[in-house]
Amino acid sequence: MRDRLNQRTSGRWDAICLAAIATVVLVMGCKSLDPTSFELARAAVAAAKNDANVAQRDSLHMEDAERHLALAEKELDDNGKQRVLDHEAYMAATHAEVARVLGEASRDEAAASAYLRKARRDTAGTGRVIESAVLRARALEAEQTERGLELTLGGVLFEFDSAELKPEANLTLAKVAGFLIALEQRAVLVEGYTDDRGAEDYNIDLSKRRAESVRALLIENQVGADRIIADGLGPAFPVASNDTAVGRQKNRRVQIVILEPGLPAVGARR
Amino acid sequence: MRQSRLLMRGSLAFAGLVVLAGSGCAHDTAVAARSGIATGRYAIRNADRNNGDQYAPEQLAAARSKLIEAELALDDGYLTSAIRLAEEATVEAQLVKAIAARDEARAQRAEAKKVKQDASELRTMTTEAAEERMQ
Repeated sequence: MRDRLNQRTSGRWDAICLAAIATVVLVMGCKSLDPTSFELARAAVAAAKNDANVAQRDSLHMEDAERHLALAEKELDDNGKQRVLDHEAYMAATHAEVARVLGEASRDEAAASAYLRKARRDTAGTGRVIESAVLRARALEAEQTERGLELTLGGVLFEFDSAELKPEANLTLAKVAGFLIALEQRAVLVEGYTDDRGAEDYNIDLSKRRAESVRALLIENQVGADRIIADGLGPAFPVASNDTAVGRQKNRRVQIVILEPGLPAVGARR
Repeated sequence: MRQSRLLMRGSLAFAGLVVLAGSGCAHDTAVAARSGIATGRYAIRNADRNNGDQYAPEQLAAARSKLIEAELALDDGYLTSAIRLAEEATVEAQLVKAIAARDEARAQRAEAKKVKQDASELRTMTTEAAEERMQ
């Protein structure tokens, strides 16, 4: 009797348990996670990955975005918690957004520096136009070389075998000085040269003294002393043949190099 | 009898291990939550320092209040919540910083474009004036 009662009770319990399990399974089965946040995050990550600007900046945020997207996908596959899924999806989408925004920033930065490069080129061009206009106005001949603007002062500046400037040189050098003062940012190299007649040591010394004379007169004309370096190179770097009188005349010269902005005079010495 | 005592001892030891392991885990999680909050605080300060308040004030405020939520969750012992909130606050602050950088770059680009236009206009004018004078 008791056994039978037991049996009946346990049978009822079995039924209840089964029903409960069935309900739980049913509820769990029905209540699968809402994948909306994941879908949105996946689209955001894909869009950032395809964004041409993103590749140029750091990939750290893209890595984070993909890591969180994978976690979100796993949560979805495991039918885990909606809260966790939404969190991971939010993290993935936001990291992708950071990557995208940083990509836009680097694109604009690159565009800005390209504009500034062009502006600098135009400004330099304007400077050259003004320089050559001033040179023409002062009747000076100059040549643009890679060291800077080079003015060649002919051999009539000095007496024969002397470092003393002729009186006529004063006017020329006053013009040059005015030009140098206008270009106050730029260092100046004064180089003396001779022809190849005579002893080389003597010629180097003579060319040095001549360059020093020119430098002294420029300083007298208010050009800053610390801007100018004088150098004597003797017969080196001839600009014409030393076999003819005309050629030798051309080689006896003083060159004034107005260096490119920012270039120190010492570094530009030959 | 002896067997059951042994079994009891064994299960006690096991339970102890479980508790220990559990508390170890909780400890690790608390450390992770604290370090997550510190990271979030740094990210917010970083965004603020990079003019985030100027370019995305609402988003910066949202990141700030999420970090406060994370701190409250940590105080109440909701460690995984604290970690998630801190993580979200961090990435939100990073986004604020990125937006500030983007908007600044945009403004610089516009300004540089103007400078470039001015420079090219000046060059054209100067060249024309010089040519006119030469004639």
